[in-house]
Amino acid sequence: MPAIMVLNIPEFAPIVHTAREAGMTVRELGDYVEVSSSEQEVVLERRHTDVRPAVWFAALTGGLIGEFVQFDHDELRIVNPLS
Amino acid sequence: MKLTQAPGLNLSGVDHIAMVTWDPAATYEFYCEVLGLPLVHAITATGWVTEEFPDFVHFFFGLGKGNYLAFFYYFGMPREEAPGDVMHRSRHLAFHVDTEEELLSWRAKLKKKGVRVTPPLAHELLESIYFDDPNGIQLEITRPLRAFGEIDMRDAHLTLRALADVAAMPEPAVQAMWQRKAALVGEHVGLVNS
Repeated sequence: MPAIMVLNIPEFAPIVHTAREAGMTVRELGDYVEVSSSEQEVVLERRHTDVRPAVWFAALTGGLIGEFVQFDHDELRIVNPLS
Repeated sequence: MKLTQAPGLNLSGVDHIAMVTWDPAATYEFYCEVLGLPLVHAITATGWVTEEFPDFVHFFFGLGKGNYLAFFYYFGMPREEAPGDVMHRSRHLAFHVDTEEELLSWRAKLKKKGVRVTPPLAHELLESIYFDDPNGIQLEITRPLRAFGEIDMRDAHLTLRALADVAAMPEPAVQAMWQRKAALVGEHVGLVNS
């Protein structure tokens, strides 16, 4: 299942919030928050996070389980590994 | 893991960073008159350093806190081609201020002096303005949005390990790095919890 690891710092808190709103499961793992989904595909929308572009485009810094098939100013679309 | 250096032999900040100019008059005016930095030292010499080394002038501007910005001017040296956009933005020099007020005051001062300067841009942990010196060197003035913490440092080590692994692959890509990072985070969390 697709998941992202988000470093547990204030800048990324809106990303975690938005992921939770998108139906993802949130659990703390050390310095990170793992947000995962039982869905095949997860979409996060930047307009819901209200973060500045520098933070939005760094949202996967903590790590990615799965693949992103879209990551632009508006949307981050994460899916299970394609292969 | 601490933010400070390990006990023992340490480095104490930047002494100087050296750039090359082909326009010493504009450089002199920009750093002294526009930025208001003190010119503190200039040495002039024949090219004694190596057989091919040109005759040169090496001059230093004070940046505060014992930091200096130095330039070389080489006699007879053909002008180097300007870097492309990415390298121009990458190889830059950032000056530090503490507060938003100082950042905005610097921007106002630069604009008043006729320097093209960007609006403040907030990154993750820094907010910066950008402008070029007369040599086309990108300069930045930046203020911290928050201090680096030990969590940032621990995360940075995992990122650099992921990057090192992926950069050694035939076609390094950011997605592969993020996937490798997640694996390292998993290992790290496992280690922390055990």
